[in-house]
Amino acid sequence: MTALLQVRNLSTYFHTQDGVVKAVDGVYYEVAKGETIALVGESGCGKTVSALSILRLIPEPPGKIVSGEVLFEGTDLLKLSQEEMRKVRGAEIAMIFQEPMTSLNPVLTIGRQISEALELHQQMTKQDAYKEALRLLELVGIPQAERRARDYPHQFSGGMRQRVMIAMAISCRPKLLIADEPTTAVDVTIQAQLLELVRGITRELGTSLILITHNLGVVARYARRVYVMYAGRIVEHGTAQAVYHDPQHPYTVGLLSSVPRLDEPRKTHLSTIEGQPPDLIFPPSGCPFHPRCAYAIPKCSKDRPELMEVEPAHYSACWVALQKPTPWKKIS
Amino acid sequence: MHKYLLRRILWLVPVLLAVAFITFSLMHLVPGGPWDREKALAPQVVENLNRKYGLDKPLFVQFGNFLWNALRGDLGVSYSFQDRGVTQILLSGLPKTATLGVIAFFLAILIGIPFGMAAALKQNSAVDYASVFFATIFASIPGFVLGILIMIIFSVVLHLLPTGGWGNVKHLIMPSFALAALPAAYIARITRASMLEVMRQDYVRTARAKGLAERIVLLRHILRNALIPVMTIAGPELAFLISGSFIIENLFSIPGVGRLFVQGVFARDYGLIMGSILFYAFAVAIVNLIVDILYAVVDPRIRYE
Repeated sequence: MTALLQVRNLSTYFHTQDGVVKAVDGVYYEVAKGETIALVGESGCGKTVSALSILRLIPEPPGKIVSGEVLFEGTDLLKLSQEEMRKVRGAEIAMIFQEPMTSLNPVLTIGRQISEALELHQQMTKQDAYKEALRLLELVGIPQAERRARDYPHQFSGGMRQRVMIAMAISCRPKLLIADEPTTAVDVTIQAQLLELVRGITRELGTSLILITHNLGVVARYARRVYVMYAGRIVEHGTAQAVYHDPQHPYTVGLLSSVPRLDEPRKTHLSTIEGQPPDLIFPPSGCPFHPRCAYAIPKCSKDRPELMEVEPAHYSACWVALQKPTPWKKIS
Repeated sequence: MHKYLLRRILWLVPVLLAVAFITFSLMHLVPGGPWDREKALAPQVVENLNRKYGLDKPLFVQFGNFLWNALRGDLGVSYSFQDRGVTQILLSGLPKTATLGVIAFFLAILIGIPFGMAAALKQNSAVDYASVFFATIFASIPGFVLGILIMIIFSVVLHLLPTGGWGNVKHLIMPSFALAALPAAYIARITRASMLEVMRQDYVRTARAKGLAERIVLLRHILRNALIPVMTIAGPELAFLISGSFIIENLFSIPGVGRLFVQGVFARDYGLIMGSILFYAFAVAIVNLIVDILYAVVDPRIRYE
């Protein structure tokens, strides 16, 4: 399979008054054409920053992409001029943001916000772009599109706004779609609908999808491969199947066991990962997870593990995962 | 919307009535009267004058007479200007005051907004610091100090502009700048703060993620949102400017409404005081109404039911 996007050794730092925050610190991942991958991790682990870095939308200052390559169809996006980069944004790579309530401009109509990208990238006339915007609104399931296109964002519910965001993102048929926690801010009942919508559209258009989430249930259903992020680094990577049933990093094990399950007795306490996510200005020595890790060995606080192939096509940045069998139990 | 407008216009009646009542009461509570002179007039003269102008009647009758005449567009007579009624006097001052006010208003906008924008776009740069510095200076200098300063520079030292009067464009330059300085400083500061606020909104990132050029992001997405708070303060500023400045009009000897009012107060010219105060109240109320309507045009979240 040919990779559409390869992120190599990407590091994005933020310069703050307290010091340099290494939000993304040497991240690797890749997406094949038409493939869906998931980027999983706790809040603040660098998922969003790594995605924004792909589109070079990091506010600078304070942020800065300090190293790495983002190869999109073989071209390093980090080396493009601003002008060339603008032709990629929205047209080749589009993004759905986490916050539908604040991600739409309050003083422009919904129709206008969708049509402006079409005018720009597809050289459509104003009328054609607007007509296409109506079609897209219908496609994402907004009833009475013609009337609703003249409405403003405040007249839409959260779920509806996220549909509008989806319509906007797919309007120019991008090759890659980045969905940054697209369902975090909407009701549970709407979440599944939105994800099904995104899946249906990406399948139809053959669009690759990077799904950023902290919801492991979502990952299992939609992604073929999973990258688990912790403290700005990828700590585990494999097929969704393998990561779920045979996790190779204690952090993933912790994440999986903190998902509530219906098949457990009702009185069981939900297990959590002890401790706090690490300070990204002064990360712990060795493996950044070792202070919270129940399986840590002396080596963990000294040497930082890189991603290693611990099973065929299954990578983990964990010294303990090299021991066979692993001390944690498989999850059925 | 029509209903709202009608209601707002009807509200003008009680507002103006209240203003008239308060002004009338204060005017008569203040010691002294229109006939006080260095050398007191003979009691018989005062009595005759009072009778002539109806000042011998009970106060509520005087107030009632004023209202009745005002309703028909007659604001009464002025004791200092015998040849014309107060309505004519104010109407002769109004064009001057309004011309000056409108010019000063556009100056304030044309100076304030670009400087505020430049400061926000280049935050923490020399441009930013300079803008904030001058905005603070001009917001703190009283109008009469600034007026006298520029008068000294441009009239006394450089002999470029006349110190006062009314007639040609040269007469307008100094007073309009002196009037515009404070609102310009104000508008610049609000523009800067509002731009900085809008620039870090999520929807600006969304606009960039679409691949829009920076110019479009700025004009279509940032500016329209950033100017809403600017409008909030620009409206009252406009009302303030077109209703005339007591100080600047006096300083530059401009025969506008502001100067007439000051003259009226000094002379205890009851008719002129009532007339100019009501004119102010009316101007402020109308401009505020216009601003509120414009609000709904610019910001779709605001709807009047």
